Amino acid sequence: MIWHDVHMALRARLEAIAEIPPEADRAWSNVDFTPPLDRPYIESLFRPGAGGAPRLISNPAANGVVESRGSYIVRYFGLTHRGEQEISDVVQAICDAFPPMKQILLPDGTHLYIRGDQAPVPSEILPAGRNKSMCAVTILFFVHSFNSLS
Amino acid sequence: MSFSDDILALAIEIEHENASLLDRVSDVMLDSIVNGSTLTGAAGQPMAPDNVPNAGKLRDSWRKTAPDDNTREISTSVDYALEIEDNPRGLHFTRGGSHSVADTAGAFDVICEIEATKLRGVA
Repeated sequence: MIWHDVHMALRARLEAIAEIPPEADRAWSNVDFTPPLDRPYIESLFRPGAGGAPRLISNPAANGVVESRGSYIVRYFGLTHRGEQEISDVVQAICDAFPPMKQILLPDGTHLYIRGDQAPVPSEILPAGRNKSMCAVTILFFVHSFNSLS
Repeated sequence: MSFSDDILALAIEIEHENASLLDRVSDVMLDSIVNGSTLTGAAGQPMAPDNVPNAGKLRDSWRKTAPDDNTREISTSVDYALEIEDNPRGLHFTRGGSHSVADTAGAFDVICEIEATKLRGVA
């Protein structure tokens, strides 16, 4: 299991959502980005280990199953003082794209899963400064892989 | 002892263990939210440098209460706690960070499993 592959798989699913801002208004990690003042933008935080450190969930240790968890936080910045509807529509589309126990294929043929015990849900809409209000969707996921002791 | 006596004794033991587990789990969660945790991935509550007025106000504000025998609540009354948790302004912290409540809640099942195992004394 390669964390970068998990990140890119989640991002690919996010980028397939029609309602999110265009590519020029997506702030991905380690990429130069200036938030626009006059239109919405989106960013995401990939956080391996959030919600539980990786652990062996089956024995024996050799080739046992390792469960790796994390969170993928999608932050949508809408224009402030414009009401809730536009922001709510976008975050709803994000939630709908990551339903509980959704399987997302990884390059190595395994899958990452959106957790079913704590499904994605929108946060409060909070003022974010610079003419923006933010709403976040926290997407909890897990991946199962085989433990290699070699 | 009769079978019904055995069942009653077992029920009492389970009740005690449940109460103990409830407190153990909520203690671990409070510690994770406030101080961070490698188990949950939580960074803990941010703290300003010690020479800043009110440094540690949010961190020290978190409390665990017991509204009833079967409930434990972890809360803060600091009005900017949500701003720190969700961090809409993208602040950077040198000590602690955001999303500690979400990270801790996300590991709830793991915390329960570990504490139940400890309670039972199972390796």
